[in-house]
Amino acid sequence: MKKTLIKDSFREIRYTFKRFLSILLIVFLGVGFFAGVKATSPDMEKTLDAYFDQTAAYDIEVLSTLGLKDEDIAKLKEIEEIENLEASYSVDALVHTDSKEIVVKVSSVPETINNLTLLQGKLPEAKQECVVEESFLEGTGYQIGDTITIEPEMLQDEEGNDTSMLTETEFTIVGTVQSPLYISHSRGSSKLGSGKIKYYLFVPKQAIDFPFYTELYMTVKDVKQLNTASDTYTDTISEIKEKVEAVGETRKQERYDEIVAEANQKVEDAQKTLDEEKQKAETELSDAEKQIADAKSTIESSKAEVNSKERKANQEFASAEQKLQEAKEEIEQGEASLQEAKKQAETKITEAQTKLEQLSTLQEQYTKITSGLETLQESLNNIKEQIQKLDPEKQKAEIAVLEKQQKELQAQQTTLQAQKKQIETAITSAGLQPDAIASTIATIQKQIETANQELTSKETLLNNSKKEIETQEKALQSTKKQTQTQIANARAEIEKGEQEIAENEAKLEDARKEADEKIADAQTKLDDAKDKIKQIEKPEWYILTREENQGYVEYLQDADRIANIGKVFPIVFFVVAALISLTSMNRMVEEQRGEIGTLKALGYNKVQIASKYILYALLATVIGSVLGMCVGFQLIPGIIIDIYGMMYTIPETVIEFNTYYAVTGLLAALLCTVGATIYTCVKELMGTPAKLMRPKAPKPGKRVLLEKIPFLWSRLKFSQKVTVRNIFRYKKRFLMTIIGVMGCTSLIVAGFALRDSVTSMIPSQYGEIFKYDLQVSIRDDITREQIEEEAENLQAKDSVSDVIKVNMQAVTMEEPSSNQDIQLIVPEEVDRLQDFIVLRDRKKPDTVYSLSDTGVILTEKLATLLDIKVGDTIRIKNSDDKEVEVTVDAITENYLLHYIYMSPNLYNTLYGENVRYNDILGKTTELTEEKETKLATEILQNKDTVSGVTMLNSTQNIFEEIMGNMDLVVWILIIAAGLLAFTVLYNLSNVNISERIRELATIKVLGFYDKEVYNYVTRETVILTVIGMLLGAVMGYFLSMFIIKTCELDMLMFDVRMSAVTYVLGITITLVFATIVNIATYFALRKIDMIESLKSVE
Amino acid sequence: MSYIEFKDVVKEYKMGEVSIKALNHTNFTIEKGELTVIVGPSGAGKTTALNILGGMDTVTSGKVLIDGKDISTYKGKALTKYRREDVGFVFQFYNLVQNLTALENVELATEICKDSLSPKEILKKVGLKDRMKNFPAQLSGGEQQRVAIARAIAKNPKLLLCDEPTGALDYNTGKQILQLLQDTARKENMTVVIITHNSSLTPMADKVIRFKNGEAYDITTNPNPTPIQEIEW
Repeated sequence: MKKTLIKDSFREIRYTFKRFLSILLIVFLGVGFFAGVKATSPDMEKTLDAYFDQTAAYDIEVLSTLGLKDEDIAKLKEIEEIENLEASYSVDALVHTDSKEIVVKVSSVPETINNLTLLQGKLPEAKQECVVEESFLEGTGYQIGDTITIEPEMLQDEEGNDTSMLTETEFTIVGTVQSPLYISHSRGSSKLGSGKIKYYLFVPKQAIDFPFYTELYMTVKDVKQLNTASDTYTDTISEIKEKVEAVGETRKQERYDEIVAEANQKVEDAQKTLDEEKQKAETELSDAEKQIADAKSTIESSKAEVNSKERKANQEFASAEQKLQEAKEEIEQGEASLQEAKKQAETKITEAQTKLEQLSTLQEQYTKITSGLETLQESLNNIKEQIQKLDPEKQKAEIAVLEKQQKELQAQQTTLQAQKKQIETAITSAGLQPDAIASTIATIQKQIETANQELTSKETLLNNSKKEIETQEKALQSTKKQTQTQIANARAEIEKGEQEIAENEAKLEDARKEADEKIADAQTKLDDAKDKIKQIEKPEWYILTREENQGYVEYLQDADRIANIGKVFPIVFFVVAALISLTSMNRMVEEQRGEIGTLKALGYNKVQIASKYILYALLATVIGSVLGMCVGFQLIPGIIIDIYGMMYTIPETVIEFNTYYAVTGLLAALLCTVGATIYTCVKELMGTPAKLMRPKAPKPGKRVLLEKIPFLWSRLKFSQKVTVRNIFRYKKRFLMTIIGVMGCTSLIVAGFALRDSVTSMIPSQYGEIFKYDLQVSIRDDITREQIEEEAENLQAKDSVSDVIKVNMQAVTMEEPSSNQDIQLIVPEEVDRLQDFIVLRDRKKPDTVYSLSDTGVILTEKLATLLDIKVGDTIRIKNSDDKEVEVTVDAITENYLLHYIYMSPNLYNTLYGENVRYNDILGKTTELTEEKETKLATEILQNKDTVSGVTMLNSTQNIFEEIMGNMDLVVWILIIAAGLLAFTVLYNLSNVNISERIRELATIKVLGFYDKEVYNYVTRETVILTVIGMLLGAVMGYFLSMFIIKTCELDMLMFDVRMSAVTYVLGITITLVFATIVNIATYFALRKIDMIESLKSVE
Repeated sequence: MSYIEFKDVVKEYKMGEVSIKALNHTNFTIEKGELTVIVGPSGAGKTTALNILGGMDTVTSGKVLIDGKDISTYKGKALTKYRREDVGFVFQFYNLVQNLTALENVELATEICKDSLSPKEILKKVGLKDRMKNFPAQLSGGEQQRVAIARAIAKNPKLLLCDEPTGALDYNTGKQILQLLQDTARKENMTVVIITHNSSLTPMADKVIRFKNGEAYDITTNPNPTPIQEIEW
């Protein structure tokens, strides 16, 4: 290129700087947006990759149901590709603050893998130190230097005993860190507390004492340089994963064998001990038995002895008794003879005595009468004396009495003397003299006495022998008694012995029973243990890659979503921008045809001439593109990643100059501008210099179609006719305006539609479809009654208004096959399900479905993904791997995740088992967040039954957070589209003015007022804009559908809402920009110098 | 008092430090119905004077009286109104709106002005009875200029200003156009000002104003103007 030409080129830029700038700007916007949005997804991936490289994040993680041991590590290290391996411990724990308990994940501080990024303070050194994540401090109010109490979940050690993993309970916070394991806010779930892990913290390994590791982290050789989001990385890792799996298989078996062997050994040992003990017990028992038997025989012999003794004694006694009897008899004889003699003697005595007595009586009577006579004499004497003494006159009465007495006494004397005579006669008749009686009596008495003495002596003799016999008898008796007592005693002793033996026997029996029982028990236990060994499940190895890390996956999914948006938006954007720059360049070359002609006439060749314009376009495009890239690559990924950064903790954003998109963008921009320039130049340069130097024949006016309808045409006002003509006059601009405006409107509409769809999805799902507020998961080992009880408990709570029991299980579909996660929901009461989950047709929300006993209801996205229609037959495999075939009754509205609804009757029929309800859905009264948390904690108290509580509000919050960020991205798009609309319209307006500047100057000269001039020009622009907007609204619908379908993840369905507001907003925003442009146009028109009209046509 | 009075008009253009006086205390008058030709070399200030007369430019100082009104004090809308109602303008390059037919181009002017003449009549008068429905591209240069003249006079202006009306036309066509202008001035008693650098046209004028260095250095009246047919150049 010649020097002058270059100078001319640059001068051209200076003179037409506005145009240059507008091309530059549009290229800047187009390329910047294209490059920026396109680069965002790779930048996000690189950000993640860099962070993972920097922290040496794991490639493969191994977990095992039975923990991991050094042998596992050794085996894994044998895999060649494994670069590094680190074992780690982790446990869920509770941290109590003043007001609440928080569930945390406590892990050992990693040394080489998943390195922590220290944000504040230092890493723990002593075992009472820990580091926490930053939000822990924010959330709890603790500060570095504070001490917290950690209460870890009890874990089972190898013996099955509950142990604490941590040696310490109090830890001092010494710093804050970030871990690559947790880049999102999700920390997983736990059996503790509220069921949701809120924070993670790390303690040094010294603070951990546990027999096995809970995780192993591995890095793989030569993958650091790979992008972690790339397929190459995924493929490489999945290859290694297979190797790890192979190791897992062997180690699993080994570990299983080891555990089984150990258990078997234990059981065997126990059996041995048991057998030994059994033996011992038996020996002891039989010893006891023997002893008892011995005792028994001893007793038997002593019994015999006693018996013989008794017999002997009895015999002896009998003979003694006989002798005694004989003696007794003798005595009796003696007695009898004695008695005889006695009798004889007594008779004699009695005779004697009788005689004696007669004698005595006679004597007595004689004496008595004699004495009586004496007394009477005396008394008669007395009376004679008295009578003498007495005066016989005076005391005549008395003498009469006395004389009477005297007479009586004399009568008595006479009687007595008669009696004396009688007695004396009696005595004399007995041969006796009354004086000899006494001696006779004495003799008789002496005879009696002698007889008596004789008898007495005889008697005494007899009595003595009797006494002797008695004594003997007594002695015999006492001996007998003694002997008997002895025997009795012996007998008693024997009895006692027997009793003892019986007791011992009973005891022995008891002991035997006891021993038997004990042994049986022990045996049962052993058998149980044996059974248990059989039941020991093979340890399961979970080999996880980064793709199982929730944060990682979420982040990459977000990156994908951005990439999906980047598929459409920037391209539309870019196309519009390209069209505009094309128009501008085309216009410029056409404007300069005179100069082109001149140069050609001067002898410059085509390439040289064209190069001026190419240079112009090239400069504008390159500068615009480079600026666009600089800003775009920096700003857009920066903003988007920053927005996503709110959800993820990745310390440093990697923003790269993405060469691929830079080159693509630049080439595309060049194609549009330089290509357009070359095309126009070539077209122009075809002409001869003379033709070129002559003003280009202005575009001839033409009649438009409308004029052929005089009926309409004649109705139009003059100015309207002019407008109609003008609209069709510049077809290129007509198209450009319409396409430009259409693009912008459709982008804005799509942006709003996307935003609406994304944001309304959550309220739709959680407000209209899922009407329940909480979900209580029940443990597996719970009986029907306990679930019933739990449901009643829940229902009884004040804050819970209604509950329903459901069975929820993960199922898979085989026909048509799908790898989607699907939940089967079987409600206990089909009729009441609608109070908790609304099943309805999305398009006709009044059509509510209810579960039948013949078919299932599927959620919409699942049906769409698998192309299932109502009436189709599907095959569902439940969590027990039983597969059934069932028809689809209906397809129901649903936005998040996939569900299949089935009635319990159908379930029972199909699966041939009674459905077990394992979840309770509940509705609460209006609750504050605090009260909700309280309710959740309260429900979780019942740890025996409840395994988890999910509050739908919290789920909703998580999703809303994600979608909120999406919302911001959409806003960026809307703003960018608006900017584009502005640029497009402004540029078109500028082109329009510059193209028609003569015409406009002329009508100004003709005396058009500013407003009339403005109307003259903008009426057509407005019409075109309106057409563009309307078309844009239509296109916006399709674009929305396309973008929404592209962005949509498999697990969710956007609630596509093309509300009138969306269109109104799309149109209004375009109008706002159009108005701004029109105002600018108004001033630009005012500035048009009428002198322009005098200039020659160039 | 003359119909048009140009009194001591100065027009100064400032180009940075340098200021150029396009008109330097220029004075002239034109009577009603006169056909005036302003001649002078390029850069003499004749176009500037015409622009000022036509209300397309303002003066730096001095007065411009048209029919007794001082248009030099007009600004913005008043000036536009003056252009709209009192001035007809014929351009060197006709400046027809390409998208409009001959008739429509005339109508474009008459639409906005009160006492306009019938566009069709005017077009008939300028001899384009049969070309009324043609677009400018379908007309020859002379015909296009006729349309332009028709557009200018259809407004029934007080003043018809023509800037090199024959500049882009061949000799004969140019003559016809000048004839038309002369006739119009005569028949309609219209005040016509023609700018040209071709001094051989001066005999056709009632008054000739010669410009040089921003001054009207010579003003001559021609009691017997030569019909254009007789002028050769």
